Amino acid sequence: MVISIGFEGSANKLGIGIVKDGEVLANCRRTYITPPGEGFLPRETAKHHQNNIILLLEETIKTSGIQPEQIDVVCFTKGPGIGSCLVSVAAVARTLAQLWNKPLIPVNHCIAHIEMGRLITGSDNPTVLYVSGGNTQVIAYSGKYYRIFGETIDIAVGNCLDRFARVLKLSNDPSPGYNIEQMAKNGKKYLKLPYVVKGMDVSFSGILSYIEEKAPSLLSSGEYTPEDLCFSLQETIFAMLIETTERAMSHCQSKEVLIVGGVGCNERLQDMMKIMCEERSAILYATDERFCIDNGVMIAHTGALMHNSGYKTTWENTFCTQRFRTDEVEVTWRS
Amino acid sequence: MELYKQGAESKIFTTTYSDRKAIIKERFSRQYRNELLDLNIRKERTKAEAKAILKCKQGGIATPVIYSLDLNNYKIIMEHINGQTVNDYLTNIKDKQDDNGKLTKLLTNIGAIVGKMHSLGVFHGDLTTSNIIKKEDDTLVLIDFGLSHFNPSVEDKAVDLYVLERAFVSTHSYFSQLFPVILDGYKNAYELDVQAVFNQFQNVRSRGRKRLMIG
Ligand SMILES: Nc1ncnc2c1ncn2[C@@H]1O[C@H](COP(=O)(O)OP(=O)(O)OP(=O)(O)O)[C@@H](O)[C@H]1O
Ligand SMILES: [Mg+2]
Repeated sequence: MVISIGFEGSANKLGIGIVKDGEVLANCRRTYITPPGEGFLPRETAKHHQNNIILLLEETIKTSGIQPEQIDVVCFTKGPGIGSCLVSVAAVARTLAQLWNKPLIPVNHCIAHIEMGRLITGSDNPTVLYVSGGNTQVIAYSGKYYRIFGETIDIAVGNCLDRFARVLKLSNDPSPGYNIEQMAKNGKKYLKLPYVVKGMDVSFSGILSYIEEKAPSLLSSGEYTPEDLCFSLQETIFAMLIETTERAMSHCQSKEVLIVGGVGCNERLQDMMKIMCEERSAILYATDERFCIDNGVMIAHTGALMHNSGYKTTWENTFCTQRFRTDEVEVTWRS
Repeated sequence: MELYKQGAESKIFTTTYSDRKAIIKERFSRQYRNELLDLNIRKERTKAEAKAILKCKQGGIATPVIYSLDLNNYKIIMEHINGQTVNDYLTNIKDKQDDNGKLTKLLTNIGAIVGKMHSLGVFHGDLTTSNIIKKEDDTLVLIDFGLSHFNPSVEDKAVDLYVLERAFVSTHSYFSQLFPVILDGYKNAYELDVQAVFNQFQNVRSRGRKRLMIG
C-alpha cells in the first residue's frame, strides 16, 4: 500500500492531493483569478502560490484524515509550466521530502493528466485528447511511450478561448473558457471562420486573429452578437479537434477516447466527441472539473505509479523544467 | 453495396462499376459539427481528392482510377485496389529482422513515391501508413487526398514527411529507427533541392520541442 501526496502549480491553479492506491483521500485547489480583460502573469501567479501553499497543505492533510507520517512518497510537477510557479511549488515539496525523509518524485504534468483520466474513468488504452490552456495534443500509447500524434502548431486551444474572452471582456471567474461556454449556449448564427487542419496538426492563431479583427465591426453593426461569436469559435475549433482525434483513432484502430485537461470539461466539446464516438461505435471517457482542471491528485497518483514501478531519482535530478514533452517519459508502469 | 471500411471522414462501400470492382467513398454528414461547416468541408475535400488523384495518375504515380464524381452527394466512385494498407501490413509483419530485405525495399519505395509526388507539385496532407495500399505485387498506391493541394511550399513537403514519420513511430514503434530508409528513398526520387526539404523537416520536428507548454 502506498500513500502519495502531490503538488501541482505549473500555471494559475495551485493544487495538492493525496491518494492511497488510486483512492482519492483529498483534492484541494486554489485558483489565481485576474480581473476581466487580463491574463495571469508569471510573477503574480508565483506569488499567489507562495502565499497559499502552506494553508492549502494544512487543509489537504486535514481533509485526507491521515497523519503526515503515513505518507510514503512526495510528488511534484517537474514541468512543463511557468518556471517561477513550478519552482515555488517544488521548493515546498523538496523541503517536505527532506523533513519527512521520503522519496521525492518529479512528475510530467501532461502524463499526470492522462493517468488521472485513466484512473477515474477506468479506460484501458484510449486515444487521448489533451486540451488545456497551454496544451493541445492527440496522444496514443505505443511501445512504452505516450506518442504525440497531432498537436497545435502555434497556440493552445485554451489559450485561444481565453484570449477571445479577453477581447469580449468576459470574467475570468471561474475561468474565461467556462464563460465562453455559457455564452456559446445562446449563440445561433454561425460565422464562417478559417478551419486549419494540417495533417494531424491543428492551428489556432490564424482563427484568433481573424475573429479578433472582425469582432468589433460585426458586433457594433449588430450583425452578430457576442454569443454568436463564442458559438462560432467553439464550433470551429472543437470540430478541428474532433477531426484530428478521429483520424488518430482510425489509424490506430482505437475504440476508446479519453478527454483530459482543463478545456476537457467543456460540455459542448464532450457532446461533439460523444456523437463522433457513437458514429464509429467507440466509447468516450471524460471527467468533470475536479479532475480535468489541474490538480494535485493527478501528480500524486502518477508519482505513485512511478514509485511502484521502481522509479528512483537522485536529489540532483529533482529540478524543474519549463519544457518537458509528453513523449520524453518512459512509461515504466504500463505494458 | 456493402460497407467495407469506415475512415475518419468517410464511409467506403464496395460495389461494381461496369463489371469492375469498385468502391464508393462517401464523405457522409458528421452530426457533431455545425451544418454549414460540415457541407463546406465535405465539398472542398471531395473536390481536392478528385483533382489530386487525377494529377498524380497523369504524373505516373499509382492512384485509384476515378470512375465517377458526384459532388452534390460528396461521393467518388473509384477503382478498388486489391491489397492491404501499409499500416496493416506492418502491424502483421512476421519477419521483424528483415532477413530477406523486403521491409527495406518497401520503405525505400514509400519514400520514392512521396518524393515523386512532391516533384509533381502535389501535397498530400494526410500522409499516414493507412493511406498507402500495398498490392500483392508490391506496387504502392496512394489514396485519401482530401487534405491535398497543389504547388506545395518547402514547409508543406516537410509537413508531409513529418506526418508520415509520426504515423510510423506511433503505430510501428518497433520499426521507428528505420525511418531514415524512407528518407533515402525520398532523396533519390525528389527532383528539386532535397536538402531544403530535409532542413525544413528538421525545423518542423523541433518546433514541438521548442514550444513552451503551460497548464
Ligand atoms: N480505392 C481503394 N481500394 C481499396 N481500399 C480502399 C480504397 N480507398 C480506400 N480504401 C480503404 O478504406 C480505408 C479508408 O479510406 P480513406 O483513407 O480514403 O478514407 P478516410 O475516411 O479519408 O480515411 P482517414 O481515416 O485516413 O481519414 C483505407 O485505409 C483503405 O483501407
Ligand atoms: Mg485514410
